[in-house]
This record gives sequence, structure tokens and C-alpha cells, in this order.
Amino acid sequence: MTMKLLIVDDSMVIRNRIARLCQDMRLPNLEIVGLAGDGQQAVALAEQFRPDLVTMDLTMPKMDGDECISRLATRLPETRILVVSALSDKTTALKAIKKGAQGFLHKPFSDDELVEALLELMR
Amino acid sequence: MNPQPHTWLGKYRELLAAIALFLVLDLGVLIFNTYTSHLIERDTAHINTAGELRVYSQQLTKALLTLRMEMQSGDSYQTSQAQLSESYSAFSTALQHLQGLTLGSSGPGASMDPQSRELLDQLVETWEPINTGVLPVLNAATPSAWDVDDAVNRAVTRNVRLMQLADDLTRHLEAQAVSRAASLRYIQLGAIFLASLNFFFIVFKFIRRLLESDRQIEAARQETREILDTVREGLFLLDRDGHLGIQQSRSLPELFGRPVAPGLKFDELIAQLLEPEQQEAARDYIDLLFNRKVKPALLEELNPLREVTLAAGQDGRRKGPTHLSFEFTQVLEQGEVRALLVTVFDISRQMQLARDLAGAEARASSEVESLLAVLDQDPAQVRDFLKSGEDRLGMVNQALQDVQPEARAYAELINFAFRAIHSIKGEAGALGLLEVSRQAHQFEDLLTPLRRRQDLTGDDLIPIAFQVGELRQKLAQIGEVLAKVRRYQEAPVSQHPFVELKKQIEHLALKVAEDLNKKVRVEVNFPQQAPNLDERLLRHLHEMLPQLVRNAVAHGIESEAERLQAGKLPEGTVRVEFATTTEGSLSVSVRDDGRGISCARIRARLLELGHPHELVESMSERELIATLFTPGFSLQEEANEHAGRGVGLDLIRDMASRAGARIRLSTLPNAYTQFTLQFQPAS
Amino acid sequence: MTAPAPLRKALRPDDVEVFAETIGHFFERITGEKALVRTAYLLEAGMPLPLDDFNGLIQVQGDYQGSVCFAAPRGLLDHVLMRMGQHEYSDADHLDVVGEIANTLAGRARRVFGEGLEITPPQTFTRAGKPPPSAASSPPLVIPFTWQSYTAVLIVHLDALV
Repeated sequence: MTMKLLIVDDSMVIRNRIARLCQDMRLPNLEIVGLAGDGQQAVALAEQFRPDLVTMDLTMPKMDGDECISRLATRLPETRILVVSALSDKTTALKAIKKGAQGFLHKPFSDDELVEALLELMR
Repeated sequence: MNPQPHTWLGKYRELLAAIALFLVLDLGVLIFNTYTSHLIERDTAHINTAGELRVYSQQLTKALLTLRMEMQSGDSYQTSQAQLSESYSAFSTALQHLQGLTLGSSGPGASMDPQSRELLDQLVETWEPINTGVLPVLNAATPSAWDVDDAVNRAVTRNVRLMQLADDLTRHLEAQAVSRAASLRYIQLGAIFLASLNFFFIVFKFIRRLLESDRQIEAARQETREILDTVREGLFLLDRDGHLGIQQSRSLPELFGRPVAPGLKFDELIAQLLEPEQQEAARDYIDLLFNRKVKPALLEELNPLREVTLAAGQDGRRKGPTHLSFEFTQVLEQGEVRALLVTVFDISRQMQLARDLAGAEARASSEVESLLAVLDQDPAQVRDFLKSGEDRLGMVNQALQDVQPEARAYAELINFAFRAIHSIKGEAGALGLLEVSRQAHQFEDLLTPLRRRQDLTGDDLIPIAFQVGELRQKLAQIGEVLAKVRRYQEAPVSQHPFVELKKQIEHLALKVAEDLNKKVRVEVNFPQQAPNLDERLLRHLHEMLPQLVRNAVAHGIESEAERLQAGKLPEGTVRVEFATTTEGSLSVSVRDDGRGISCARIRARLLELGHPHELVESMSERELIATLFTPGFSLQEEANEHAGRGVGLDLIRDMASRAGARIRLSTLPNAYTQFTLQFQPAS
Repeated sequence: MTAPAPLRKALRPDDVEVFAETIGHFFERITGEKALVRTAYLLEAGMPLPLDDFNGLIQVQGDYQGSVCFAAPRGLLDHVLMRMGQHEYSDADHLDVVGEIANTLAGRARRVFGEGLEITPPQTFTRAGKPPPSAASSPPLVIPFTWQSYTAVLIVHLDALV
């Protein structure tokens, strides 16, 4: 079954990198449905496409990742969220998990790490 | 403890059997007692009946004699006759009763012994003639004298014998009752004895078993205690309400540097040891462990107390470890997390070692790095860089020394320092001196927040003076390396001045591109005939070109994806062109085929930075472009090592004016940006 | 967690800020008016120590090595003594004040840097006197203070050892 992925990150470089990695041979069942550059856009796209997975940056303009996770968790409880953030302290990670994220990946990440994290979440 | 029922039964089977036997014995004694008392009652009744026979026989004889006498004297004899009848029937009844016992199929008669039966037979035999004699007297309303005489004779002659037999029977029965009672008592005593024995067996067995299990529990407890007393790690259980369990390892107070009572709240325990954010994180994490379904691997990774630095306590120094590590293990019961087993390690030593090691490694690698980087470069250039770097730091230090105690002067100083450090960083980056550019970056990190502040005081300058020292030291390190190298190597023949510059520019552009994940091609074009440049001009070029190239790659060139989207080749191009005019003036241009500078974007950024709306809207394109050259302005929101600190263009403007060069900017959105430096002909 | 510190236990800005704070508070407590840090800079090699009319110095040995010195002009100390209620001042009184300040610095140093530190009793000397040679090799950090219209300096010359 194909799963839908939404990529949320304010850095285009990172968005594109994640997008490129998601076309990895190891992730054949992943289809990118959107790229969002801020929290508001993320919520809008998520409501439109109802993705199964979201990769989520935390520090973003307009609406930050924390807020975005809270909203997605209430509106789309089935959606699994992988936080991808450079905020590397565990407090941030804990907060995100508490708000409803299911995974956490520290930036900078290697290709393998991202693929692993996504595979883990798709299980 | 093993809760399986059959084992439990097995363990107590013996005891249960003993108790059952005890109950059976007790019940037996009880039944036997009832039976015995019944027998004794019956025996008593027999003895009494036998005794009565004697009395009735006497009464009968007396009544007959009285009757005969009254008849002879002609008196009324109804009374005597009635008495006779009464005693007769009493005797007969008693006799029949005793006889009935022998004849009955059940009842005590069956157990009557032969001797009693014989005595009874004799009694009946002796009674029979009297009975035959008395019956006609009783049956006739008016008995004949003959009948009476005959009855009297029969009674008198047999009365003594009859009484004797009754006595014998009584005594015999009595003796029998006594002996029976005695044997019954023996049986009873025996049974009670057995029951007591059994009772003592049970008590003994039971106490022994209790003692045994107590001993086992005590041994287990002792073992646990010993383990808990000896382990260096802190061990305790944490329940759902956040309370510590009773069983704790002895090392706990030592690890925490405070007494740890059972039942203490974990919150309270960590309150003085950890920063408030860490405490909150710990609470969140414990909550997660108890209540949330999170993958174990992630849970482990999230543990915020894996390596914590303990707060020093109120009065500066606290006894005990400086670093602890907490591990939490879920204690599951039927799939529910019932408690957490918390293991606490003292990792102060490891942390210290790790720090020392990391420090040593960092130092070693930095030395190696700077050594290698320096070897790649032209020594003369590095020397120039070191010289100018030291000069700049000297100027910053001088500015620090001279600064007037006013917020404005402080702000100016910070800006000045920032520019100086930024150039050092740029040049160090161009020369590949990573340690220096890293240190300069750190310095900038210190300065950046200060630049936004209006309320600076002298205290804020203390760390700056420190950083000046640190950066100086880094420069000195490189100087030392250089000096060492020089001892082995003659200074190489100086090449064409531009060759070195070209190498530098290419190196820098590729490095910046790599860091920012971009693709860039660099073209540096010199005129065939190198212009005759003086030292000064060359120095200026060395200062300015790296900044312009850095800007071109960091700001101008788009990411690969963005370029593709815009219909460009994925690889950006930065072209550096040198041109000389006939008058002998030199112009240098740096052009990138990137996104160009859009006035709309500058407007948006200015608004974002809080400039008044009307002012921004009324600005002309030229004015908007001009803002790019003001201190602190950058289109980038987030600073990285290469861009976004809002320094660069204002610095280049400063440098250009110092070098007596004019600077021109031309740009087309989505097409290119070109900076041109126009140097005046050397006079 | 904590960034790995270099093997050389560097003197940190915080450590120096502690001393600066001590001076500020000393003035505040004695005179009701805080002495303000004007700036901080490194003393360039070859430059003489910016000593003043009266100087109070402590020497430190152990985890840290070197000296901390407070130097103030006569006018400032006159003013301080006046605020302390004294009206006639001798050099001895002035030396007393700088000695007291050095003493406060010593106390603070011990509290902050802990047991592994030996601190000499404060030494005081006038402009004519000579400071003891410093055991530190790094450049001294100079922190000028302003109080009223006067300037005093704190000179922190410490090396941190492993």
C-alpha cells in the first residue's frame, strides 16, 4: 500500500534533500504529496492531502513545528509525524513526542538515518 | 513464592493429613463419649430395676400375709388385695423389663453377659411358682382361703431366695457396669492421648515449617540487602505516583549527596540537583514511560537524564558526583507498567575523561589541521593574513581600551569588532584555516546578539576581551606552525600574484558551495598581461574578493532544485573577471548567474525588520539597493557560517572606500548579480 | 550536554565577571553607589601594568595561578573614606581600603574556585612600591571601573592549569 508523505521544513535545501531521499529504492511505497515551508502551509496541505507521514521541522516562520504537531495530532490523529530538527536537546524531542509526534531525527542527518527513520515509522 | 496450587498442596499435604487425622480422632472420641454415657445410663437403669425386684418381692410377700390375716379375722381385705396387685404387677413389669432386654433383637440386652442371664433365669424360675400361686388370688374377686394359703406358702418359701437372687443380679450388674466404665475410660484416654500426640505433631511440624520459610525469606532479604548494600549504582523502584520504593541501594544518598528516604517523591529528589528544564523533561519522560505507547528504541533515546550535570547547590560546591546517568526500566505486570526500576550511575569520571580526551583530540586535530592547511598555502600570504589579523585584533583591543562608557559607543564598538572579526573569518576561510574561522565564528556568535541590544554596559565587554585573547591565540598557533615549517623549508619562489589569488577564490567558492549543498563552477579570468599592481592594491583584493565570492555563492546561487525549477542548469557559475583599461585602472567583477536581487524581496525584508511601512513603500529601487550596503542588513533570516549576518556588503563598501575604489552593483532578478570594483589608476 | 572543554582548563569570562561583580558590590555596600565596569581589554605585551596610587593584590596558586589586583587613585579612595565617615586620611588608610577590597576578592575567589586554590593574604603597595612578579604567562585582562568621576582598574592575570 502506498503511503503519502508531506515534507515540512523552512529550508528549501533540506526539503529537497528529504524529497530526493524519499525516492530511495528502499522506500518504494512512499509518495510525496507536498512540500511546506512553514507551519500554516503544512496544516493546510495536510488537511487537503491527509498524508500518512509527515516530516516536520520545528523552528519555522508563521507557525512553529510544536504548534503544527499539536494541530495535526488533533485533526489527523492517524498521521504519523517524524520530527526532523536541529534542536538537538532531548527536552525539545520529548515535548514534540508528548504533543503527538512518533519519531525524532536530529539534523544534520545522513541519508541512511532518514531512510531508517521513515521505514521505522511506516511499520 | 510459587503461586501454583498443586505445589502449594504438595508442600502442605503432610500437614493437612495430620490435621484431618486430628479431627477424625477428636470426632471419634466425641462419638465414643456419647455412646459411653448412653451405656452407663442404661446400666444404671438395669441396676435400679434389679434392686427394685428385691423390694417388690418383699412387698408382695407382706401383702399376701396381710391378706391372709385379714381374711382369717374377717376384716375387709380390699386394701391388701390392691397392694398385692400393685406389687405383683410392679414385680412382673420389672422382671419383664429385664427379660425383655434379653429377648430384644437390639438394645443392651443383646450385650447382657451369660452370668447375668443365668441369674435372671433363676429369678424367673423362682418367681414362676409364686406367679402361679398369686394369679388365682388376684383374678378372683373373693379369693379362696386355700388359694391364699397356697400363694402365701409359695411366696414365703421363695421370698428369701428371690431377694437373694435380685441382690446377686444387682451386684453383678453393678460390677459389670464398673468394669465397663473402666475400659471405656481407657479407650477414651487412649484416644485423647493419640489426638494430643497428633496435635503436638502438627504444632511441631508447622512451627518448623514456618521457621524454615522465615529463614528462607530472611536469607533472600539478606541477599537483596547485601546486593543493595554493595552495588555502586543507585537502585530503586519508582511507582506511578512518583514515590521511591522501600528497597534502595545504599549508595543512593552518596550519589545524590543527600538522604533519600523511602517514599520520597522523585520530583523532590531531583529538585535541587537539576535545572528546572531538566526536571520538567524528567517528569515528561516518566509520564511517557508510564502512559504512552512509544517504541522502546525511541524511549531509550529520549531519556533526558542519560547524562546530566548536577547543579552545584546553593553555596557553590556540593558533595558527591558532578555527573549522573539515569536508566529507567519498565516493570511490567500483565502488560501494564506497574513501576520503573531506576538505575543511577556516577559518570563524573567518564565525563571528565571524555572531556579531556575530546579536548586533547580537538587540540591535536586542530594543530594537524592548521598545519596541513598552512602547508597548502603560500607562506607569504599566510604571514600577511596573520599580520593583518593581529592588527585587526589589536585595533579591537585598542577600541576596547578607549571606549567611552555610553551605550552608543558600546554599540559602535560592537559593530566595529564584528566587521573586523568577519574579515578575519572570511580570510581564514579562504586560506582554509578552519580553526581560526571556527573561532571567529564563535566570536561572531557572541557579538551577534549584542548588536541588537540598545542597553549595553561595560560588563558585556568582558567576554569580548576574552574572545580577542582566544582568537589571538589561534593566530599565534598558526604563526608557530609556520615558524616551524620555515625552519625546514626555504620560502618558495613567489609566483604570479594572481595565481595564488585565483587558487584561493576557487577554494573558497567550492567550500562554501559544499557547506550549503550547492553546485558551483568558478571561472577566474586574468588578462594575459598581468597589470602592475602595487602591494597595497593586492592586499585590498585579497580582502575584498573572498567576501564578494562568498556572497555570490551564499546569496546569489540558488540550490540545485530551485535552479532546475527556474529552468537553469543545476550547476551555478561564478565568474571573476579582471580588466585593465588603457588608462591603467583596474576593474574586477564578480558575477553569479543566480537569483539576482529583487527589490520586492528587500522591501519585504525591511518590513520584516520593522521599518515603517510608508517609508519602505516610498523607497526607489536605487535606495532599496543602497540598503544592502548598510550595516546589519541581510536578506537571510538565519545566519550560517557563510551568510546572513548582515555584514559583508557594508564591509566591502568600507574596504572599497579605503582602497579608493568605486563599487557598482547590477542585477536582474532570476538572472544574475554582478559587483564591480573600479580601482583608480595608481598615481 | 556540556561541550567538551579543552584540556587546558581555560579561565572563563564567568570567572572574571565574578571578580568584577565583587568590586561593583563592594562599592555599593560601602558607599551606596555601584562601581560600573567601563570596559575590558587585554594588556598588550610590553605595556606596564596600569597600577595606580594605591594597589591591593592577591596571589593565587593551585588550579589557577597568577594574581588579581585592584588599583585606585588617591581621589577615589579619599571619597570612599569620606563616605565611610572618616575625615582625615593617611596613606595607611588608603592602603587599608585597597587591602580590604583585595581581601574581598580573595574570599570570593575561594568560594568560586573551590578548595584547590591557595591564596596569599592581600599585599598592598603605593605607586612607589613594586608589585610581586606574576606567575601567569597569558596576557593580563584589564577591567577599568568608573565610580563617580574616578577610574579604578581590576587586573586579572590568571592562568588556568589542569
